[in-house]
Amino acid sequence: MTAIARLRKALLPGNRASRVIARLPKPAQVGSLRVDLDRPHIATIDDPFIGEAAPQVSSMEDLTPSAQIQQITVPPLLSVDIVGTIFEQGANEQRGTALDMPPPTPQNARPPSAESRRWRPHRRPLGNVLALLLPVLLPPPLGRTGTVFEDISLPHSLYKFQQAGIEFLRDTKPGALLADDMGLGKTVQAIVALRLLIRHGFARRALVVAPNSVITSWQRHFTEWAPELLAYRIQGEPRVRQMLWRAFAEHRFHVGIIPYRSFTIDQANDLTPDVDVLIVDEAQNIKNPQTQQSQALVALNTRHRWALTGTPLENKLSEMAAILRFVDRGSLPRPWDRQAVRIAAQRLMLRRRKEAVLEDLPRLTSNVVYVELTSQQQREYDRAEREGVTELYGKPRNIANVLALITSLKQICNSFNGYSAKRDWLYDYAREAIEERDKLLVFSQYLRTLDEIERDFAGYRPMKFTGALSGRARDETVDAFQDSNSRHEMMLLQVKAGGLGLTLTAANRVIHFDSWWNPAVQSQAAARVHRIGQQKTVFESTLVSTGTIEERIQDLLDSKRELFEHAVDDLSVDGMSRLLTRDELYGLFENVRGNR
Amino acid sequence: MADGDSASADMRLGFLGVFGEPTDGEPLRGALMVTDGSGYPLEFYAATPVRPTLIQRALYGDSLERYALCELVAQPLIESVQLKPQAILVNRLTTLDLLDDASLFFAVAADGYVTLSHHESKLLDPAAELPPAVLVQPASRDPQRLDQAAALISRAREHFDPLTVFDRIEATMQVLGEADDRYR
Repeated sequence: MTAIARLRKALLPGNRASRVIARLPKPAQVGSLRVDLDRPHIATIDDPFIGEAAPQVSSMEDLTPSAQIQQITVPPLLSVDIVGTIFEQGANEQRGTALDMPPPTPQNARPPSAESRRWRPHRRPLGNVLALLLPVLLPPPLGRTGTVFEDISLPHSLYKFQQAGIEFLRDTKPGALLADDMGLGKTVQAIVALRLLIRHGFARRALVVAPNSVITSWQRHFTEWAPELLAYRIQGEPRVRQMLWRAFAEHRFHVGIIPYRSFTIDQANDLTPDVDVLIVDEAQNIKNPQTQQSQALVALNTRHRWALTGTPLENKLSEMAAILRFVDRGSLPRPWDRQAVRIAAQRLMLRRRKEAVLEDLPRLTSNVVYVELTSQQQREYDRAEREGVTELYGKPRNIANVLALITSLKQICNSFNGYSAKRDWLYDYAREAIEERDKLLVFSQYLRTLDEIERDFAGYRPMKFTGALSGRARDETVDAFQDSNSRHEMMLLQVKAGGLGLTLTAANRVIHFDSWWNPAVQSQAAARVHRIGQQKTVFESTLVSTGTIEERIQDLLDSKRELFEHAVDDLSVDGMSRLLTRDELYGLFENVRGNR
Repeated sequence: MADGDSASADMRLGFLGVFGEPTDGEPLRGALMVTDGSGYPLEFYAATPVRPTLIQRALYGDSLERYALCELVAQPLIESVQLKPQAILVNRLTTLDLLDDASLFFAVAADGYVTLSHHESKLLDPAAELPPAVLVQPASRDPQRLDQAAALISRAREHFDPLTVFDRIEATMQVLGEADDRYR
């Protein structure tokens, strides 16, 4: 038997555990033999074709040089390591179907699908590789017995219009703009569409870029609507984010969720890996293509781009053009014209109105409540306006001075020296509402106003939601308010902090204690309660002090809004703005000046 | 739950996917997934790739493929499984030939797939939207087992396409390799 044959025999099954030693008739026949002179008894075979498991050749001490017999040790093929997992069946079924969702409406009260009854995956911590495998292993939903939505585990049934939205996101290439009214479940539609892409093998990694205030909401929705996907926030100190990006790049989790600001910084530092799907929430944030965050998002390499916003067009058509350019990878011609935007929108945008698709959604009743200032407020207001206008017109025209004067007058309208007609109105209104077991949201742009209301309405245990809250505190505040057993009857919100992305359907009364400049922002605020899950009629009240700057601004915005609403749907808003122009702002005091 | 649903939930099917040609110098990768009758994963196991060196390939010769596949990949994977499958499908006929006499293993192939003379095949019941397919086993094995397995797989094909499972397993191996160097 030759040495080679002996060696083969030794390597065959049954002998694989032993170290294999064979004598070769001649040395140095394999590649080139390099002998280490300092350690003469060790030689190594230096053959680039051998690869990792290079055998070691040991020269025998008792061999004569002429005999050239060596002992060669070839490691046998090693046993493999097995890694595996068992997917838990049926566990946490009850918990999984009832996580902090709004109370089921008749349409979404169906029991969970057959899949979710049978199967419920583990959620595993970051770093457990096996947790990554489940979405890839799951069978693609084919909809053999109905729609594809019956093939995947969903905690609640989807509305028909949501199913259409999901299919639109999934099928529209290279990107899509989902511009449904606020409260129609854009987040859920995007998550389920992403699940479908992943289940079909078209995507493996997605990034959600969203305002800070809705990051938690996204993560919760992922937990609920895509339990097999690992979704992590990419937040924290730069060092922590760097670690998370690295894990994301190594496919340690499926979905990253990051605030705009952090994303912009990290993209500039080259930390962001390519993704298959990029979801940009509240996409009105990229209406200006010149900003760093818009450019950072455009620069990210991705196959699918989804933009979500309830207000694709806040003021000017160019804003929508910018969003469409983003989803369409810049193919929209620049400079754009209205016709080009219209064509792009027909192809890339889906927009549904609440009243058209949610027949069961309770009504939203909006009204403006005109309030007479108290005599103390009125005196102070007249004085401040008179002096302000004198000063304004005694100086060169300066828009900053106009805005400063407006702000000081609006604050007097809210309260002065403890006198507040609006607060007095709110006392009566809140008492009546709470007797009817309704909860209230009160929005103001001024922290001072919110502080005063908090103090004056302490009996209702108001909660406060401002930009000063940490991410965790925001979540806790919303949870505590939404809890059906909560004794907090009122939530006070700073418009800019609480106007986006929150679900506060425990309340059904919205009071704008003062008005924001842009009616779209105010609509966003009302949409916190007028959305899926709301069970009661929603009452939205905007407080306006009569005979003041508030009333003049309100009238101007109302007339513009009416024109604008008609124009938005057919995109005929070219050159039009819902916001007040510079001249209009100056004009607010013309009459006052004339009357003096 | 309907009877059909219940039956498919109780079904246990194994899918042994083996990828790569060790005799050509490619690493041999293997994974085993157990699903219910609807194709939903119940267990999944993957083996680290087997990478024979040039010398090992030369020394093992013809026995390399069988040894690596049976001893190093299939056997440890099957031993790991806790829910014992009623049948294990493999993704290629050569794998089926290499496996030792184990009546549990079958290959599933789309209609038109050329089978060898030493194979016995049975056409699976037609299923909506799925192409015709055959179930294959070496002719030396018990023909009754083939009939039983064909009935089982036909039932499963009412819910999912067994042929596509191996694509999912291969994609999963790729994910695993990207996340863990040992599986690259």
